[in-house]
Amino acid sequence: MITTIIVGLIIALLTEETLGWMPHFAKWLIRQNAKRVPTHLIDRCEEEWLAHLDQIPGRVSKLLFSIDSYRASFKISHEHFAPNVSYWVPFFLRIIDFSYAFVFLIMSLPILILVSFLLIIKNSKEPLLTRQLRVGKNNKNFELIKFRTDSSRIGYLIRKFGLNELPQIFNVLKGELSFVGPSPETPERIRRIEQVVPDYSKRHFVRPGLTGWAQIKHPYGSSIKNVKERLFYDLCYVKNLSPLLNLMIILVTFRAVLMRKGSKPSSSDS
Amino acid sequence: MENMGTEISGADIQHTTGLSSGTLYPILLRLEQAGWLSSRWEQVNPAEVGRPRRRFYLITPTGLAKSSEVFDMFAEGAPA
Repeated sequence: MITTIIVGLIIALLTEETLGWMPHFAKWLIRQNAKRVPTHLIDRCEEEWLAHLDQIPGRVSKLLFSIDSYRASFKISHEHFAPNVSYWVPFFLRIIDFSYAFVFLIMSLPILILVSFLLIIKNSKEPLLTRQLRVGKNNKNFELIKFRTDSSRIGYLIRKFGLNELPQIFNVLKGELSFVGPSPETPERIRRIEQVVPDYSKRHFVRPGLTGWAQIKHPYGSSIKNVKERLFYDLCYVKNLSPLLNLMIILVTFRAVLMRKGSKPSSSDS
Repeated sequence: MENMGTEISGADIQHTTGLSSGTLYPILLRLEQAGWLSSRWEQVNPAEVGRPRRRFYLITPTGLAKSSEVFDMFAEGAPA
């Protein structure tokens, strides 16, 4: 009897709390979603949608409205570019990325520890990792994590097998990098390219990746002609974003790496 | 169409059309960029009224002409 009353009270309390917080949560959700539209529309969408939210009477309706603003922001941000991408695809890809990165991290943990150990005995004065600035999704900068290697024999071997790139798995877990996507470039390089190729930042609609369509189709050369060709492949990829395409790109990358003739698994060739 | 010539907010349009916001707002922005609609902020101070400003939409002459074209098309039946 007492238990029933206590449980009843707790449920009543939780319901009351949830209902009370719902409008605040809805506002928060709208602010988050408004950030996804093109930069010059962010403030407008946020205020307009919050005003709309204010005019909706019911708490549950408010919540549903705020959830639907995800769809609105997605469509607005892809309007001029990839109108055929349905809004759940990037969401789904992010979940796949995270799960694979997690499994990969656990599998490569022994190697990570071994490499860290070797580097620390070799040179314990310098920090173990280096952070390099790269341009990510929606032109936001992020830091690419790598092992710091010197010109010693161990450093050379670690670089030769690409093991210095391994910590990038943390970038994938954090959602700054994807397994598949346009190559991550430095802000200076992007600025230089944009002066000649104004559309270049359109490739930043998606997260940069360790490998990608452009990297396997046209991996070499830094002339403007090559950059334009790679941009074409990057944009093809963005327009046809799908889990299946990602899988195909990963398989082709593996084949290229195994045959030692194609792209490097990481595209940070600077 | 009864709202022609009056300014209405996104919430009013949603109320009339029954479209979900995920469909409505991308369309409104697109129509505005194409010049069929114009929009402006509600003339209130958000701090005074204690809520965000609404955004009002008004159909432009271009939009009116284009929309009557579309309505005519539906009246005649879509051209083959």
